[in-house]
Amino acid sequence: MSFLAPWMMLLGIAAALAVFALHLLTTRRPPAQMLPTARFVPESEMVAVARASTPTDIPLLILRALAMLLIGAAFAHPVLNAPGPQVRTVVALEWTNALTDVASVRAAVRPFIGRGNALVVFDTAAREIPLEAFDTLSAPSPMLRRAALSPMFVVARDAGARIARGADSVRLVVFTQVSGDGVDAATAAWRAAWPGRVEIISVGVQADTILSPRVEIIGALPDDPILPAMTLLDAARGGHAVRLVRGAPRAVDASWVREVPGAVLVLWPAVFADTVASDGVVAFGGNAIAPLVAPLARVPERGNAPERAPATSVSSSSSPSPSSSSPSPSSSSPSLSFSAPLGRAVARWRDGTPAVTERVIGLGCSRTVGIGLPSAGDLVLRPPFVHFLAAMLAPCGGARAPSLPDSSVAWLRAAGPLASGPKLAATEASSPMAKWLLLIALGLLLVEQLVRRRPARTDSTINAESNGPLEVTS
Amino acid sequence: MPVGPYGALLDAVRGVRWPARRAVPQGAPGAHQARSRGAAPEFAEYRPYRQGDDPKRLDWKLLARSDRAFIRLAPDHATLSTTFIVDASASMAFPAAEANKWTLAKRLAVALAAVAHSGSDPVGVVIAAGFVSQRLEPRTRHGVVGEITRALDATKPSGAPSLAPHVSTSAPRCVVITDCLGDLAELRQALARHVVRGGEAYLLHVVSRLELEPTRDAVLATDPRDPSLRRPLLASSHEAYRERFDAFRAEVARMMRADGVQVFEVLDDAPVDVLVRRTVR
Repeated sequence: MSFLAPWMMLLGIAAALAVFALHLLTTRRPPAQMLPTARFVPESEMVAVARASTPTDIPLLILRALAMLLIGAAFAHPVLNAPGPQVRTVVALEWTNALTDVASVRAAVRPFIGRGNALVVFDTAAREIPLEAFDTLSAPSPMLRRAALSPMFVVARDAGARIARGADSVRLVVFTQVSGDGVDAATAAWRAAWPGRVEIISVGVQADTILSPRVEIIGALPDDPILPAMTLLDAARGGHAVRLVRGAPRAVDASWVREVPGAVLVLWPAVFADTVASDGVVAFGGNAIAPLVAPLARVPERGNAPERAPATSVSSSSSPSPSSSSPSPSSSSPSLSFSAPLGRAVARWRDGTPAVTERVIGLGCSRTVGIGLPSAGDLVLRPPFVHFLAAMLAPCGGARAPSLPDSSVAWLRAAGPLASGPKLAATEASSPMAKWLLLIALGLLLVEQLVRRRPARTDSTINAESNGPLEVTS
Repeated sequence: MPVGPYGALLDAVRGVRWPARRAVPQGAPGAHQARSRGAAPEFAEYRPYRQGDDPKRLDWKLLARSDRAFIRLAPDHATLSTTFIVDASASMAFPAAEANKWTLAKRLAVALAAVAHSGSDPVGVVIAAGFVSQRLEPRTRHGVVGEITRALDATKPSGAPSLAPHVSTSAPRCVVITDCLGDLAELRQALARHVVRGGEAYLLHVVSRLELEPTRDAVLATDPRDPSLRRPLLASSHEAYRERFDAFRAEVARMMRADGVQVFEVLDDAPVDVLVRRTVR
């Protein structure tokens, strides 16, 4: 057992000693002595504080001292030292769909899965999982392609504090490929919160910007404005598979996206915004933000009825929808009901409502685009739209930023000793035993009240024993 | 002549005289100037002869020259009986082990008695103890000081006797040796009446050093006169105790002096011969 705040235990011991000392100070009747001028002594209670050679009221002393010790121990946060080696390891594993070889990553991590260690998996969020769950760890979601280091450091620090009890040192091993979007403004601070060096082991990840997606357009009309925009994308194709459906989705498309790993099914109905007022939309997926300000139409989403999000009434000049609910007070055109399907918002209208959502389907993902393009004009040929289109065709979960070179992440490693176990354990401010110790101390103090209220000796008894120092109260 | 353990003390006060503070009533010839006129060798005044005067006191030469009969008068001298009223109450046996207050009272009484007796004054003593008060009437015979000494040595202080009744029956010079912790009010009245009647009154207020500076340890102070009176004397109450006791002693001296009583505060650790010389001065 060890204490997270041992100085509080010392305070408890000091308080117990103080209680002991106070029990040596008793109120006693002083010894009688003849004094002819006693009448000139002021009248007062016939007791005086005196020192005793042995403590009085042993049961009370035991109760009080024990209560002080328990309170001190409770605030000292005692923890039972976890069994295990003196050097323990926190393994932080990036678990994203960007991993190119999950099996090799599992093999690399497996030697660290030992007694007393901790396992943290992280993507854009982090969580500690039991070591036993490592073998049954499911494949990463297709939506998760990026790994953020800040949440990893937060969870790793907590896990390290937990396993540091009784350990000399704690080692932090991170299996990841640090990318540009994995480091944010808080990363440096959280890295500094880990009191030791960090070992970063690079794992293979798929770089999304190396190859452009292989796009297959389904249901596009010959004069579809999106076709010329496609020609402006990078010519080198060979990345993830994308199927852009400009009409109604088919069953074969759904089965395709379920079966092809990393496939992206983009459902983008060919609705045009010839008469609509100008509107704007921002796509914020991936590592870039692609704002697009143009006369765009809000397209009512069709399909995926069972997974619709709460409906939001919006005005639109597009074709009416059977599911229209309430007219817009600001528009004379028919009001349409646009409901974004459940999933991650990839782009939003300028009023904050989702314009593009994305959700996982099987091994791939479906991306529903509720944006009507103008049938005329050169919007689709402008760079903002090309960037917006690239974001719509990005891999599931958004494109992952390029990996940072080792020289750029040297500060993360910060060579030095391993994290000190006691120092790390002291950062954890909770102890499961604390509340029980406080409860026991409270019980002892209640019992002390009962013991203290025993009938005191009467004054006549005291007078009868006036030959020597008599204890009256304690 | 040295008497027992008091020998050194009596030697120290030998030659000390204790004059009366004013003319004493007529009495047996003694060392004190009397209010009457007698037939001493030194001349004071003439008085016409009256029938019944002793013819031997006629001034024959004056009669021969002036044919008038005058009597020669001279200042008279008389003795002054002295009674020592010694308080032998329980409070005088303090401290319990040494009884310094009682020892001092005894030595003062013996020394003053010896001084008075050396002036041919009759000396007696009243020892006011708890149950039996011993009284020796004033005598001038040889050995009376020894009798007083033996009576005092045979007494053990106890109880809470009253001193005032003994004052009214005392000799013209009354010396009270007490710690003033008894019937102080009655004693004051008795001494005042004694002074009014023309007597001399002395009050020797016996105080122990331990009463002035009691132990600093916490004790339950118990009055030996009244054991039911018990009060804790703590370090915190020393100051108040000392203030009260000082005020009491000052008040005793003030009241007694206002009544014409000669008051002397005597500490139990002071040399007795010095106290005696201060008293009879």
